[in-house]
Amino acid sequence: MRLLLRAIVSAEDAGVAADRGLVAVSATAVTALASAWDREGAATEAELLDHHRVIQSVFEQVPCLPARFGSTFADEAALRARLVQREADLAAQLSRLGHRCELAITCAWRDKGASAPIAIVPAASGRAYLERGVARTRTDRERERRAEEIVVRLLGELAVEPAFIRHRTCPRPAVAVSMSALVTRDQIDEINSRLERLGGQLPDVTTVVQGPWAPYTFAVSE
Amino acid sequence: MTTSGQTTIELELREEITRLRALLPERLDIDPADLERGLAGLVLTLVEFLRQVLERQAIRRMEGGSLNDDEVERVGIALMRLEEKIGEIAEQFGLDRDDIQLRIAAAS
Repeated sequence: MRLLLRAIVSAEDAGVAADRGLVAVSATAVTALASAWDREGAATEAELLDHHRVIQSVFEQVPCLPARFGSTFADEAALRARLVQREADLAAQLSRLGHRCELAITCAWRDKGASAPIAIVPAASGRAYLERGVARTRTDRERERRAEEIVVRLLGELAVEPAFIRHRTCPRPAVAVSMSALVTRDQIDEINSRLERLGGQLPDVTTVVQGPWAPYTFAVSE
Repeated sequence: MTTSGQTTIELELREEITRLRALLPERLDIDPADLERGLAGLVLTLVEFLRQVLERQAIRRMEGGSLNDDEVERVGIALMRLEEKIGEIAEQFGLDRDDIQLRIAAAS
């Protein structure tokens, strides 16, 4: 029976598989939770959402490392072989990350006009075309500089160990900063209030916090 | 200018190649119904990526004063026509030009 990997949990937490209809495949210290899977091809939106729901349900109950959708194994033996091969690393990750949850922080530019896609409008001359590019480059550099300032403010408010933060500046035209932070559950309320306060001091962006989720960005469970 | 024996241009080129690598899918989804469109999207993304690299270089050289008026005009016209052509082909294949830009941005 082909299996789709959902998450990795500690071997002592393998019991969570039973009431979720999941298959538990154990090594010594860790257990892989998987579902029977006979589909081929690209995932549908419903399948991706279901994958997220399964992981969240496990994560609400026990520490876990979420698997990215699409890690499939021919059968239990193949999954167990892979689990044994990666056990030391998975156990270490689980102990470091498993009890933490991920918050996704997005700062979107309020000035939607400046971040709108640029329409292809022919320029009057080759020079005019390149000069338009010069102006765009200057705007981009200015936005990048401002996004870096916002990152510094966010890091100051989060006060989380650098290893538990990942971020990108200007990943899309409408977004200034996209940041993922790993926090403990008891930090969430305080961090949310601090970020809300900071949001009021950043007039050029809208700050949105999503989560808590399982540590998707930080775990490598496959 | 050199940094540890490598010129700035070499370092920039390596950076661009790293970004280019991130644009390529790990595997191609060979769905017969969508293969042509998928390949067109991939090729257009690569061409647009290269156009943007050339544009950045041209802008830098223009700002640095190392292109004369005639060269600025010719390079500008060539890049403008290439951008228009990419837009036309994307439209023919029913591809969204914004998606192409997003794929390039995601690889940055």
